[in-house]
This record gives sequence, structure tokens and C-alpha cells, in this order.
Amino acid sequence: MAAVISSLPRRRFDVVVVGAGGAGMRCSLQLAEAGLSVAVLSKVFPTRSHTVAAQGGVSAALGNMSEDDWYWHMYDTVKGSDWLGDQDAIEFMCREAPHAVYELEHFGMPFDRNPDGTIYQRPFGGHTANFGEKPVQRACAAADRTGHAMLHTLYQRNVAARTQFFVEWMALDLLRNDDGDVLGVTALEMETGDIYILEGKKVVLATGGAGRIWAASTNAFINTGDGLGMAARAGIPLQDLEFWQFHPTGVAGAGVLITEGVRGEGGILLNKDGERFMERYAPTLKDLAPRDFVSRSMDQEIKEGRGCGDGSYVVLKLDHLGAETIMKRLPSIREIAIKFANVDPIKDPIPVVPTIHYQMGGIPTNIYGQVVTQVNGEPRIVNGLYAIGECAATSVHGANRLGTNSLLDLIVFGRSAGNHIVSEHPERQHSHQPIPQSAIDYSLDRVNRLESRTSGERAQDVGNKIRVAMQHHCGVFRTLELLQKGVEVIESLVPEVENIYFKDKSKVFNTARVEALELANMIEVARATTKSAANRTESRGAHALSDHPERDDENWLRHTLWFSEGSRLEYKPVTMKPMTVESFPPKARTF
Amino acid sequence: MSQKRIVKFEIYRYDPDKDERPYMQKLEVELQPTDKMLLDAIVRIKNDVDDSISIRRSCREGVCGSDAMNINGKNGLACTTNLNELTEPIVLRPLPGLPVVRDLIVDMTHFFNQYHSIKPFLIND
Repeated sequence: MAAVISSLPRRRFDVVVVGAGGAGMRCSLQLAEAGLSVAVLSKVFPTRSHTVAAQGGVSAALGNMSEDDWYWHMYDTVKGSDWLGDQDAIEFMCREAPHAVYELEHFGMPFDRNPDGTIYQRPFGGHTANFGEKPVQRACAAADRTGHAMLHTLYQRNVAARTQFFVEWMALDLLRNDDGDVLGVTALEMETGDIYILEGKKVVLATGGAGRIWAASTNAFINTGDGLGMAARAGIPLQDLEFWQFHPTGVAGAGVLITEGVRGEGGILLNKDGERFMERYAPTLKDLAPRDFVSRSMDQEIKEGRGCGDGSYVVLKLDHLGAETIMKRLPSIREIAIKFANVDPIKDPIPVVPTIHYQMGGIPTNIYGQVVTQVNGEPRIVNGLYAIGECAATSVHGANRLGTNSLLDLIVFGRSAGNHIVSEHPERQHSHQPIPQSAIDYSLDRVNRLESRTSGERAQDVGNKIRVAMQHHCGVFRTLELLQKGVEVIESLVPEVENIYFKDKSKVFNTARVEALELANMIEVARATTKSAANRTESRGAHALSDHPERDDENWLRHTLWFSEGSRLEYKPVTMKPMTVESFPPKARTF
Repeated sequence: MSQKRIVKFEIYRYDPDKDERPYMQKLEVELQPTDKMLLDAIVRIKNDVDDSISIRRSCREGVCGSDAMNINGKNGLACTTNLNELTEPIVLRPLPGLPVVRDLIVDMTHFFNQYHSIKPFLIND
């Protein structure tokens, strides 16, 4: 294949950004406006990225509705994370939040408005005033399409800044040299089937989460953890992958998301007796307790026989909000309920179940988005590589993310990574460093093996096995036995993933090829998740073990790092010290 | 929902790599009780009948717009079109008026060029 390899087309940029969701485009905007040459790759047209599906809001302590303070926001986020979040990063995010939101407003993002012209804010799970005293309205909303409004605004600004988009391109592998510096990526142009080398002085991974490794998920089909797979194959660890958020309100059966904003606007969860059961579990915040808490409560109700209908779900009642509020604040939710649940929420409640929604873990980074690995127990920055958004573990979400902190994460750390790259750029004006042929060969060999195989496993079948296994072994409540079995099942699927074959060898927009390549990324995330989970013998945030129901700060107040090679685990301390304020020491988590 | 549900399709096929001209492929698929929307049926077809059919799809809830296509003569999103609303055979064609890249995937370049030409951003200096 030597002739083919040497003829691989190359393109050179200052920065290659992989992913055009909220984080990728907030970052690319910062870079393009500073005059750097930026390539942004995306498997889908930028405005189709999964940020588009975010509904309820973006958090910032603007105080438009009542008194609020970024320090209260920080407290809520630390407590929401079950103390696994890094307090320096959380302080940074919550302090930056108002500025980041006003910036979006000035970009033209169409937020809902209060009568006095300020941005409308709604209550959301786990967001409180005065350190847990009462709910506060902190979620800045554009009806129930906040992500849609944000993504389109960011795309538009990037059009103005002349960012160069590579639409329907899939990044395949990171290219590193012998020092471990990242120098670019290999990428597949889906329309032609051609493979390119995209060189960048910096590479930014902004590929989102891998929620599609579960059978029931609120996530888009494209959320296959591509950046995580690329990092894992390149020897970079994945952090805290045992922590996956179940969103309390996915439409039963369909998995489609119903925003927490419904409960923010006053919607309530009921069991089959018509009881508002969250009053029992969380007397202060009730239906607006954090998501891990509400999901467990719902699961408990269902397990104890108080589920509705066939017993497998509870219902979300919002008819009491009135048709006017529903049409004004939650119009898309009404459409989704009519289409996917056959109920009009103006009259009837929506059947809901906890559904996989968000990956708290990811590629470990610092607050500038720089990827940080661990060598001999010491942190070490990976030169040239950044990760932002859901694919990164910064870690602001720790063991459980608060609603609306994901959109905030995208814009704060997308911007921060962009600024860091710009600030370092003058020192790195030198030309692109040479890429070792072995790095290119590794990626091409992987693709060539897949292309040339004439028999083997079907990607759909192996994908279904992964999804069924994850659903069965890594649910809302877990047990060590179930998780250890899960490790075995997932590891047994590795040879099958390595033996994928597809019949159709057409070069033109071959979706079977893309799905086969995605599977190689999904298996890495599934391996990391099961292995990390099976080793953590405590309950913290979204990782709830029935056989170890207590949080164990003495042994487990630390981050997991999973390395693909040998499925090896290391650990690193949680940063308890904020940047400028007092630390919030761990305490019991009640709401 | 216990009886077998077999649905007839006619799908526009064209792969410039191997087809001289486009053709309509007739096929049948057995649906599962959970297959409710047209996109569910297409995914079922790709899984059980013919995985070479190329479509765009992402959010599967009507927000991203990827799976726009011509459905029984009307343009719509496959993910929000209920199978119960469709008469058989269900005829799927690419969106009209745009060049076809392959099967149900059209070339949107011209569409987005026009979008870019209107300066689709807030000018607030």
C-alpha cells in the first residue's frame, strides 16, 4: 500500500477542530476572529450537531428574576457533582457564565425576554439560592429550543468570521510523533470515500458524547464517542467514564428527551396513585432535585410497583400550567409528546422513564482545554491536543451534571480553549512538524483491513450487542456482580468489532462504512465505562451501587483514568481547591 | 401488535459508483412493535433487508432536519412521520430539485450557498 500512502492528500491549518457543535464552533469562532486558519470537521452539517437538541436553557447567575450569585451557582455545581467535580474548573465556569451568556446575546442569540427586556430565566434541577435554601431561576432560555438557538447563532457568527468547514467529514485517528505531540488527524470525506491528512499545529476534539452505546438514549445517532475512541487508541486515558447521566424524563418507549424545563415551569412527576412522589424523596427541591436523584427515585417507584400503565413508567403532568404557558414556553415539548407519546400535554400527562442522556466523563483536560494525561503518577500535558464540551472531562460535572450546565460548559470552555490557542500561537509560528509515517500507517491499516475483509461480523449486530449489554449491566442502579459480568461481555465483543465486514464497498457516501468506523469508537467507550464502573466500590452521583449504597470519600474521592491498552486503571486526586474562593468540603447530599 | 406487520416500500436508488441511472427498488420489511416512525422503518430496512441504502439521519426527533426526504410525494422528515399516516407502498425519493449524491442523499451545496449569501448573522456595529 506504499504508493497509496505516499499519495494521501494533505491539507495544512493552524488549528484542526473536530466537531461542529456548540463547543467546537465557540472555539473556532475565537480562532477565526483572531486570524488563525481553522478547519472544522463535522460528520453532519454544523447546525445538525447534537447541541441543536438541547432544550431547557443555559445557566448563568444573572439575577434577572431574583437575587443570584455565581458563588451559589458554584456551590450547586459542586454539590450536584457529588464532590467529584474539580473546584477550580467549577469556579472558573460559574464566574465566566454571565459574561459568556451576554456575549451570546450580543451575537444575536434570540433569548426569551422579561417585560423589562432582560433575558428570561427559569428554574432548573439543583439550582438554588443561598447554598440550597430554595430554587432559583438561573436557566437562560430560548423557549424549549435553547440549544437550537445557540447552535444556529454560533454557526452564523462562524460564517461571518469565514471559518472553513469540512462538512460530512469523519476524523479517524490522531497523528502523534515520538514525543507524543499531536500533529493532526486522518479523516474520511464521506461523500467521496477519500482519506486525507489534516495537519494542525493544534488539534481540538469537540466530538460530543457516546450516548449511543446504550439501547435507550436521548442522544442523536451521531453520538458515538469518536473523539474518545481516537484518544483511547492514541494512548490517552479516558476519565470518570463510570458516570453517565440518566435524564429523568425520556418519553417511555421512544427515548426522546422532555426537558427538565417542564418541571422548571411547574410540571410534576406522578406515580400510579397520582402521588407527587418527589415530595417524599426531596422535601425542599421536590421535582427539581438533581437528575441522578430524581432518576433513582423514579426507578424506585417503578420497582416498588407504583409505575403507571403496565407498571414500567411514571407520568409527567403539566396540564395545570395552562395552554398559554405550554404554547409559549414549551411548544416543542408539546409537539414531541403528540408525535412520540400520542398525548397532548395540555390535556394529558406524558409517560416518562429515566433515559441515558449525558456522559460526565471524557478526555481529561485543564481549564484551558489542554488534554492532560498521567505519567508515573504525575500529570502531563499532551502537546498540541485540546478537548472541549461533552467529550472532555474538565471536570466541572464530576459524578452528576446539573441541567443547563452542559450548554454553559460548551461556551465557557470552547472560548477558553480558543483563547489559549491564540495566546500560544505566536510562539509556534514555526512550520508544521513532520508526521511519522508509522502514525499514518496505523490509521490506514485500520481502514484497509476493514475495506478488504470479505466476511465477518455485521456492524449492526455487534452494535446491538454492545447496546443491549450496556443497558443491562450499567443501569440506574448497578451491582458489582452485574458490572463485572458487563466487563466480560464487552471485552468478549472486542474481537467481533475487529472482525467487522460490510458488503457494500461503494466509495460514495457509504453509511455502512461510517457505521463500521463508529463502532471502533463505541467499543472503547463501552470498555472504559464497564471497567471503570466495576472497580468503583461506592455510590457517588450517577454511579449508584445497590450493594455499596454509601459514598466513600476516604477511598474514592478521586478521578478514574482508564487506558485502553490492557484496560488499565489509574487514579488521580480531585482538585478541591478553587481558584480564589473557599473550598466546599464534602457533606451529605440531601435536597 | 402481536401479528406480523409487513410493509411495502419503493425506494429511489442511485449510486454513481455503480449505477448507470437511478431506479426504484421494491422491498418489504417486517416491522417490530417499537417501529413507529418512518425513520424506524428505514433503520429496520438497513438492519434486516439492505444496508446499502444511504440516508442522512441524526437527532431522530425532528430538530436537526437531516432526514428530510420526499415521502409519498410530499416533503417531510422521516423521524416525525408516523407510519400509520402513510399508504402503501411507501414511496421514498430524495428531496426534489437538488442534485442526488446517492440514494436519498442530496447535494445541499447550492442551498447553503444561498443561505450564506444573505449574510445570515446579526450585524450590530
